[in-house]
Amino acid sequence: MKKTQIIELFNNIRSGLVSFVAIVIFVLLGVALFLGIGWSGKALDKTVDKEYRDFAMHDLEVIYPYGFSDKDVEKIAAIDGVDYVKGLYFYFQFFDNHGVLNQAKIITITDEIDKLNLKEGKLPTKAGEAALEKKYADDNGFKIGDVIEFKHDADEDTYKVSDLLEGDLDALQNPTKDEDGMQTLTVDKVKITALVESSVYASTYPITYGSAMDNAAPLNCLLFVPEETFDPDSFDGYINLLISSKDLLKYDNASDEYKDAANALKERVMAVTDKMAADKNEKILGAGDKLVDKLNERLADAEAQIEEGKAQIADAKAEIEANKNLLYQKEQELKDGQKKIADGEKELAQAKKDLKTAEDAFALMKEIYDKFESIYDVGKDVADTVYSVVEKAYNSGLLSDLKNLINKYLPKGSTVVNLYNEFYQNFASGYYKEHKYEMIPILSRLHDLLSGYYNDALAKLNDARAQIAAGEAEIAAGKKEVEEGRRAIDDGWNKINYAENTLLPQYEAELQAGIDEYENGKVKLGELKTASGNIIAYDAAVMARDYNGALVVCDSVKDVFDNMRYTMAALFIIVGLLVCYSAVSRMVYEKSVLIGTKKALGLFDREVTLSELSFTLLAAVTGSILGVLLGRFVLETVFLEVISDQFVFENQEFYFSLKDTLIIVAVELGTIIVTTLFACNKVLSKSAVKLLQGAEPPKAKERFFERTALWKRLPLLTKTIVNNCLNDKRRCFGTIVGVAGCTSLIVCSVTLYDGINNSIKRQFDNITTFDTIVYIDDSVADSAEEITSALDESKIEYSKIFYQPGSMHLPNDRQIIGEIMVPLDDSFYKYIHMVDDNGVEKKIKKDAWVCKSYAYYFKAKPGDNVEFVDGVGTVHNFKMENTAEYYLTRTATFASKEAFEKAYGNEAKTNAIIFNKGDVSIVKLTELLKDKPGFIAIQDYYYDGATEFEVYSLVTLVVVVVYLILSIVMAFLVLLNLFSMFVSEKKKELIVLMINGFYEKDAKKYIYLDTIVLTIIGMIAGIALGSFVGFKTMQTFVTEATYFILTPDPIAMVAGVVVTAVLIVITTLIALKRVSSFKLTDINSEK
Amino acid sequence: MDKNLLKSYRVIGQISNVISKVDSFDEAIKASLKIMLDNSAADYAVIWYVGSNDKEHLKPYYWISPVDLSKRSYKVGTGPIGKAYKKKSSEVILDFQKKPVKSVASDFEGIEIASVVCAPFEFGVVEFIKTTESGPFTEDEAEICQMLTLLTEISINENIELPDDSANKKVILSVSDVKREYQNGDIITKVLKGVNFDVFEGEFLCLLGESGCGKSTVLNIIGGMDTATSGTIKYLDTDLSTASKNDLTVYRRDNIGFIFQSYNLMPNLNIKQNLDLIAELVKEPRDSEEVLKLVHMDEKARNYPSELSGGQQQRVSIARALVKNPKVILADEPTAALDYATSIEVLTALEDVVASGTTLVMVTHNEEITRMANRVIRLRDGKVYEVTINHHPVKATELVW
Repeated sequence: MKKTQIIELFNNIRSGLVSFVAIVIFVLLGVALFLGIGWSGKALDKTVDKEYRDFAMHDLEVIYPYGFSDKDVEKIAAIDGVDYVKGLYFYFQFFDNHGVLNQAKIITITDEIDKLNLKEGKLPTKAGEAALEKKYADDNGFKIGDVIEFKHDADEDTYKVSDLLEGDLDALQNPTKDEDGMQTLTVDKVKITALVESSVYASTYPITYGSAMDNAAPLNCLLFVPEETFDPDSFDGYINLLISSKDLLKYDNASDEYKDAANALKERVMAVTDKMAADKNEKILGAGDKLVDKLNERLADAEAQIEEGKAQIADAKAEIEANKNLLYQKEQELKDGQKKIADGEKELAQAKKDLKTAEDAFALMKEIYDKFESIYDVGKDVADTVYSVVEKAYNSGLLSDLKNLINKYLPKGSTVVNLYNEFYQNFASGYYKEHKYEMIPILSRLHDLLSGYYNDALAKLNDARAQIAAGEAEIAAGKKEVEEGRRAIDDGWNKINYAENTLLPQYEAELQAGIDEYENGKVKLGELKTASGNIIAYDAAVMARDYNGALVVCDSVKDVFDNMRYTMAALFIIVGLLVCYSAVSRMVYEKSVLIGTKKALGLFDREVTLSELSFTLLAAVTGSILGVLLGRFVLETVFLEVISDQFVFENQEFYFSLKDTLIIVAVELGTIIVTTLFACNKVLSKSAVKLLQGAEPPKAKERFFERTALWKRLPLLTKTIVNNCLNDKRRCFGTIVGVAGCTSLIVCSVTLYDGINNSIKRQFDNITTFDTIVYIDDSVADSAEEITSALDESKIEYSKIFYQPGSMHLPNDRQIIGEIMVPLDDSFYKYIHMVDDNGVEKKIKKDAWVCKSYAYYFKAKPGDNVEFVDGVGTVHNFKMENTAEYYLTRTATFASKEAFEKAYGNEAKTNAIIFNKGDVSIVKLTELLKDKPGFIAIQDYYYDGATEFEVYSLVTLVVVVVYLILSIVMAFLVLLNLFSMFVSEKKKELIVLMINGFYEKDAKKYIYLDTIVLTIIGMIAGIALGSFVGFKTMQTFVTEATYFILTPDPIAMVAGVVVTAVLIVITTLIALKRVSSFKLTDINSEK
Repeated sequence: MDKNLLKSYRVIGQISNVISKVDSFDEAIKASLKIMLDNSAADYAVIWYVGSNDKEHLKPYYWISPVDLSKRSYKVGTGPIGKAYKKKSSEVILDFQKKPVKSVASDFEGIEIASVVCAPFEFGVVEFIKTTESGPFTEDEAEICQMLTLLTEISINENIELPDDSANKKVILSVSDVKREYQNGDIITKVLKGVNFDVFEGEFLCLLGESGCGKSTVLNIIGGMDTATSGTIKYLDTDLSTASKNDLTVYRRDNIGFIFQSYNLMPNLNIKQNLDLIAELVKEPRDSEEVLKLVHMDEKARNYPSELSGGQQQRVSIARALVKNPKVILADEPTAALDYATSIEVLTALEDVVASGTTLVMVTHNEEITRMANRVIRLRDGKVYEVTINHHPVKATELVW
């Protein structure tokens, strides 16, 4: 360019500064967005690469639950390309975090590979010490020196199979419990000595840590410990191997070369580990069969013993019975004997009594006899003497006494009694007084009788005495016998009781124990058979880096950024292009006379064009340079700042690409060149003479509707507006396109913003309407009932479900963390609403519903196979039945019970309970439920899901917010430029109106009223365009595991209209302010 | 030969030469006065005459001075002018400062007069003025003035009946010592340096001058489109120089009609709508169709400006100016963009406008057009240079250029 042309260029810039700056900014925004967004993703790649190099990230990871021995490790180390192999352990433990149970993944610290980034303190060196991940520590108030105490897990199983392999049935049946109550660790608590970060677990989402191998509860944090913290007896070898290769160091982590080389290495390693796993699996399966046989034998022996035992016990019982019977008999005899003795005693007693009686009687008799003898002996031959004696006896009462005695003790009706009575009576009557002689025979008879009685009595007495003595002797002998018998019987009973109560129960108990053992053995046999039959032949899962949860998130973020940069920048570039064209067209149009003059003076068209092109190109170049700077130093910084919140990378790398810069600058410059040439061409196609006449006013003509009665009735202002719109097509088009562009930018931005925000709201308001999950151990009997009873008491409604964490294996060979939920009854649908693509709520029939992100991303359809990978790398297949609306940042699969059981081979039993806790805190719920059998943990599902979503979507939201701000800036500039141009174009008309007496405000109304009409049309077009672009852009945000609401957003439309309207009002007011500065005298200079 | 005599003969010759070429008395008088002024030491000159209707008063016929004497008059016998006429002998005041005459001083308000020579001739007096700037007349110079007058009288032998004047007409606009300066950085551009004139009701006044003399600026100021840096502009009794923007808008709306050089019709309204747009501003507009008829554009009422020729557009522009029924129409070079024939069309239309009683002030650089004006004010270098009363305005169709 010649010197004057350069001067002219800068003068043009000065005079057309608004247009120049407008073009600069349009270009700047397009370039900045394209580069800023795109480079942020690439910067993330660079950061990851550096992080992995600095901390020696493994290239391959192998997980094999049955473990690798040191020999295995050596073999793997010998594989071509493998330079370093490190075996380590990891397992999962629960601990209390301020009243809530959290689950930690405990991992061996390694030195040469997967190095930790020490942030505070000193790395642990012995068992009982641990390094805690820093973010968790900061978020939960843990610090160096704190102690974490684990829940004892001695009763829990590990994957150890050496007992199985050794056929140690006893060990299998009676696992040793550690004294400290821990199954896998040598300690039950650890002291935090360091806070660390790990590049392996660089994502701040705990869900990327994977899932526990033996329960469904989520992992909350990472603990890194020295190897001696793990009890090697609980493992059959290293369940985790880390492999690195120096060959791969020469490639960048994100490069295809790295992926190819890593996959090749993976193939080689898999060839070895697969064989190892296959061999071991075969052994295990074989061992399982052997153990089954062994157990069968034992059971058979046991069964025989049991039978014998039973028989013996039966015999013993029979003997006992017999002895009992005998004893009963003896008892009876004893009783009889005792009875006899008792009788005998009674008799003796009676005899004694009789004796006494007899003695008494004898005594009496003797008395009687003696008395009688006294009366008899004295005066035998003398009746008077007899009589007097008798009389004396009578008078002394002796006769009466004798009478009483004789009547009492001698048999009634007996001769003696009758005789005596007669005698007495006769005496008493005085008969004998008269008949004294009669007394003598009577007395003699009586004497005889009484002597008889006396002798009898004496004989009886003697007999009785003899009998008594004999009886006493007998009784004494009998008693002795009874005693002996008693003792014998008691002995017998003791023995029987002992036998019955002690020995027999003991034997029976032993028998029962034997039976129980037998039954257990049968159960174990059943289990062993089942387990043996179902022994999971685990593959050694060999995973390259792209299986790493954190890297998957990185890739996801990067993909979103890569997609966003095209869709988001495109709209800016298009709008900028259109506005540039308008601005350049106007500038050239206004310079019509000047251009005509130049042509008339002899300049070629190309020389004239060069002048205009210099203006726009300089603006474009300036805008490009500023755009590169803005993109690189502002946008990239802002986006990376937000992205970095999702990760714990040590250093943040930035990215710059000359190639990208040149591409976008070329696009912008190309665009500007095309628009300038196009605009110039329109003017330059006219002759110099024509151009010198000045800018042609718009050509108007009468239209058909102007003859209608309706038209005639319309106010002039309305007619003016209609004519302005119809006759000045260039302006109309420019205004509509400009407003449409601005509205579309804002509608697009708000659509994106709302789409993201509304997604999580919809998730928890309409899809998963529960906020809490309780995880339980389904192997503990009645665990579900215990928990649900407690919930019932607290009046909390719930649903029992089956929950399986894991990862979804994707068709692009990546893996995304996810979950499977299985309904066990219809209450499931109260909390999880299965909404299909048509918005209809349905229930699962027999297969599985997959989340929309997956289905959308991979265009999956019903009937397709979907794969889920569990914590040990085993793949499980489901058949897809439908797609489910789902917005959390993970994949979700909802399977029928049958489908799950078919895929996993395990029964889907209640292992989780979902409900809404309302105002009850997790701490309180933990307190309520922690002691219930089978309770594992509680998760605040809403908080975790919402937080994850928030962190992930924050990046996208920040981009969208930046986009919205830039859209508003762009819209403001576009509209300002548009309306300033319009006011300039209408300057002459405005001045004429004011000269003719229009007030300034009325003249302005003449201008902006048609702008309102064009604005409304532009807004409608903008809403449609913005919604469409927003929809398309939102589609680019969708990754395999993230999905957002893709439906048109009325709020975005309203926001677009409102913001655009506000901007239009502001820019119109600013533009119309110029009217006040119009000099009416300028009419003379206006052409 | 006496130098002065020689000079005198030369003047006679010049005057005779000029007169021989002109067609009218007016032209003869103007030309003569110019020659006299050029050949005298005077700064300004005025021809006073006695009209046919009023023999008692002397009215200004033509003058070359920065003041507008249109409404001035002298009773015969009063003041130096009246006395000179009555006595038929010159009145000379060599040292005006010592012997000022109030009436003369008032005529030339703002100008410091050094000397005055009033030389009578048959039907009037020629007044010669010298300012203090250039110093007073000498006696010889005074005599030359008298001689020149005589010579002029000799040269012009026609006995023309002079027409009636405008002195009794109502002043509708009055411009007094109006100055207009523009500042561009440190540079101050003085466009108007003190302009004085009046506009009479119903007259056709032309503002004439070369490019940059300030005629459009004057038009803009009296039209309320621009404001003077200093001075007074009055419309009837309203002082426009202190009026607010709104007041000026009202003034323009209610009283002024504009005709622009480049028509400036609304391109998106048809002809009738262009008129209606303006008509709606005033309470009692004229019927737009009637006005279109006036300018012979009634048949094109539905056409749009782009469908009309330049002349047609300008006629519509005139109609637009008329539809408001304004008191004054200001026309800024209305025929500059038109060819001859079209210009005549337009001027004819304007002629009709004036005939209907509307005051017309037109800015033009085309001297021929001034022939149809009632008065012509020539501006030079930001001031009124001369004012000519056209006693025999010609018809538009008689103009030739």
